[in-house]
Amino acid sequence: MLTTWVALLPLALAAEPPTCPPDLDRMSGHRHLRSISLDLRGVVPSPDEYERLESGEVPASLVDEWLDSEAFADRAVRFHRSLLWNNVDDQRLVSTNNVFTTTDSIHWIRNRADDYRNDGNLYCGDFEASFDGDGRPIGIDQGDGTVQEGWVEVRPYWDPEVDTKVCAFDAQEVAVSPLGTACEGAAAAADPGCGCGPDLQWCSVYYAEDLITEGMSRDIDLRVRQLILDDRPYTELLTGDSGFVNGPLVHFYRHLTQVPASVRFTQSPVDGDELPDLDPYDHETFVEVSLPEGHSGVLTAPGFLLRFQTNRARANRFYNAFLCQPFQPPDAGIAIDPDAAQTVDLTVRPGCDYCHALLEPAAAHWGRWTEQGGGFLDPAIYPAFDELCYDCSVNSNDCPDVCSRYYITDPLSSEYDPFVGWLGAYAFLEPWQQPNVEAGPTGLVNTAVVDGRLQTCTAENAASWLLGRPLHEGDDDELQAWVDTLVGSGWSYKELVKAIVLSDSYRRLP
Amino acid sequence: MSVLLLLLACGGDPAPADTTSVPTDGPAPTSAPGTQPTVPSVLHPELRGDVRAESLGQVDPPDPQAEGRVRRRMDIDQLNASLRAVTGGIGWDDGDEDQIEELSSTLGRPDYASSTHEDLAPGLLFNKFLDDAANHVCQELLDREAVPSPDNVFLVDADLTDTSVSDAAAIEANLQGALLRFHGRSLPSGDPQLEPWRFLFDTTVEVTGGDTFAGWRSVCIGLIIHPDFTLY
Repeated sequence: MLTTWVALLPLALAAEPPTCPPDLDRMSGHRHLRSISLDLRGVVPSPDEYERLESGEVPASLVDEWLDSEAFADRAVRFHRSLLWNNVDDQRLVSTNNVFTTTDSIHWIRNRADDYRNDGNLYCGDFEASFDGDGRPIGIDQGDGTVQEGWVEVRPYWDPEVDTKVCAFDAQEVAVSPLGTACEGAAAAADPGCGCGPDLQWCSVYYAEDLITEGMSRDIDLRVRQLILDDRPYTELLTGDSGFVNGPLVHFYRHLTQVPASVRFTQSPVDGDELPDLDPYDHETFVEVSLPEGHSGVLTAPGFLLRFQTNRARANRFYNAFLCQPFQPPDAGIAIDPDAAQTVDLTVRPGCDYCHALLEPAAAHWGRWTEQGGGFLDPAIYPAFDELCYDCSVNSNDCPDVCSRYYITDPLSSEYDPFVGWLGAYAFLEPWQQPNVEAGPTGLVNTAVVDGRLQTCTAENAASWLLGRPLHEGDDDELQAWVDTLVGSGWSYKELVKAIVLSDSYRRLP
Repeated sequence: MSVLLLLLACGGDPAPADTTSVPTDGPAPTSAPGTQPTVPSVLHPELRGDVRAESLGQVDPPDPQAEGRVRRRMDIDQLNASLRAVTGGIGWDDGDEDQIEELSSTLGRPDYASSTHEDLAPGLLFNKFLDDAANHVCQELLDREAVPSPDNVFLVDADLTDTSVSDAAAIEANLQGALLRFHGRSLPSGDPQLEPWRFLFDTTVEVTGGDTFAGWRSVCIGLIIHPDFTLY
């Protein structure tokens, strides 16, 4: 019965072929309105909205109304996800030394079990813990060399409404252990005198960690959204100094950056103490905050830095998404002289130089942002050239971690010798390229504004999105008009989109 | 099922070269009145004796030199919002679970971690789920609007007591309203483009022994899985 009508269709059409609309070279007013509505608001118009056509034309005032709607901001966010790829849900931020597992409804950290109980697989007993006179949990000798303490009930920061059983060693709250270890840091994992601190603040569960990475992704969405809603200059998206945080993000910056997993946020790009006090479990409430000097809009947002973890990847995404300049070899391939001298400098290495001559100095703009992480190397703490790192390298002494991590030390090739003691981003940069590091991504954006690439690509991206096809040479005149509209309106993205959807090209049928 | 619904489609805008001269909301057509449309074989395989036409379900890639705006498929967020808009709030939900959201990855929405390209092809998989969605929302829509109400969004000018025999004007007016709501087509009374929809309603009613509920449900499903709904 449900498909009765389907069976009827062939009969109907055989009896009387369908009547189709006439062949038009441009959209009717109704279709134009429907297309604009779907593109700008993501939904078909209501019958009442069709009534607003004026002499069959879409009134500009209606387009303005839709551009000012939250629905358009959401569509712009959706489109910008295709440029920024902001999803870092697969990243692990907190060391497994600080992540709880749950067995029989009791929380414990497996990686610390050996130090606590002399057995890496042993968690506490299912009884209430007791404490000695110093407030330390008492471990009960099991007769086999292991000890077991009981549990305590804690209301963890990620679930403050629920009393949660946590092994007492893991739940210790002291800031400094009897051995003098700072319990908020990574070294605490090897010191049985340390636990996870008040409300377990120095530790996490995977669920809470997921809220942090989700917050990083949403931060970028919200930056785009607010820029559109406020009709701020589009360049602010890439150079602005504000971002969004929620409770899990604030908690991360305050308490978890010192216990990193595979990605690091040292030095922290924001001062956690300067951030607003938000409930650490409230992942829905975001607050816009000012960011310190050195930030460059979404290009230094944690969600961008973790999505693209090397400076080359960051520059590559910027070139693809905002300059419309993909690093792509020619179809015929790159001719390489087999006798050409090899070098570790990719900007001149035959074959590699085709892309890297441009990519390396571009990547240097992220030179103060840590790779495999989102830390910021503040110039006040990390000078471009560090005498200590130079000395330890040339004198073959063991270099401190900060030198080997961020500076060029112990080079494998003599080609690096001129750069020993310099921040890693300075390697092989020509003198005229070295300012790129200190200029940051903002410097790259400003250059692209001056030479016109950013505005052209912004207009091209928006037009491709709305026209549903890539632009070609035949679109050049109209593209230039859209670029002029964008720049002439003070980089208003709404004005750009309005010009496109009311253009002849948008309404013309292919 | 969806493939058969393509039989109702005219291949979108622009229409086939030969068209009938009909009043529409757009510029006047140029072909002579009374000309019968030329029907591409892919749209009428049963007329050609080949239901396995090789091109069935294939989509031409965009012409790299095309001018103007290329017609394309709604993304699934547009589809979800539009389904709810045309039905007055009814979506393809199973309890509190939004089925389109659940199927977002399958239906082409990238997560930008494992996929970065949005698949907007109106392929068979998309049409299969669209068919499921249409069946669900149309059943619920007709259930809700079976009783005449000022809040109705689909059965506005006709109710379940009306047929083309008893009140042809009401049926036509309701079809006109539905085509505007679902496809954005404003067709005047008597427009030949209303005829396939009237035929769909009438024949469904006839073969079901007068079941107008089934007739309108057929029209609703047809409107949703018609290319003029999902392509824009």
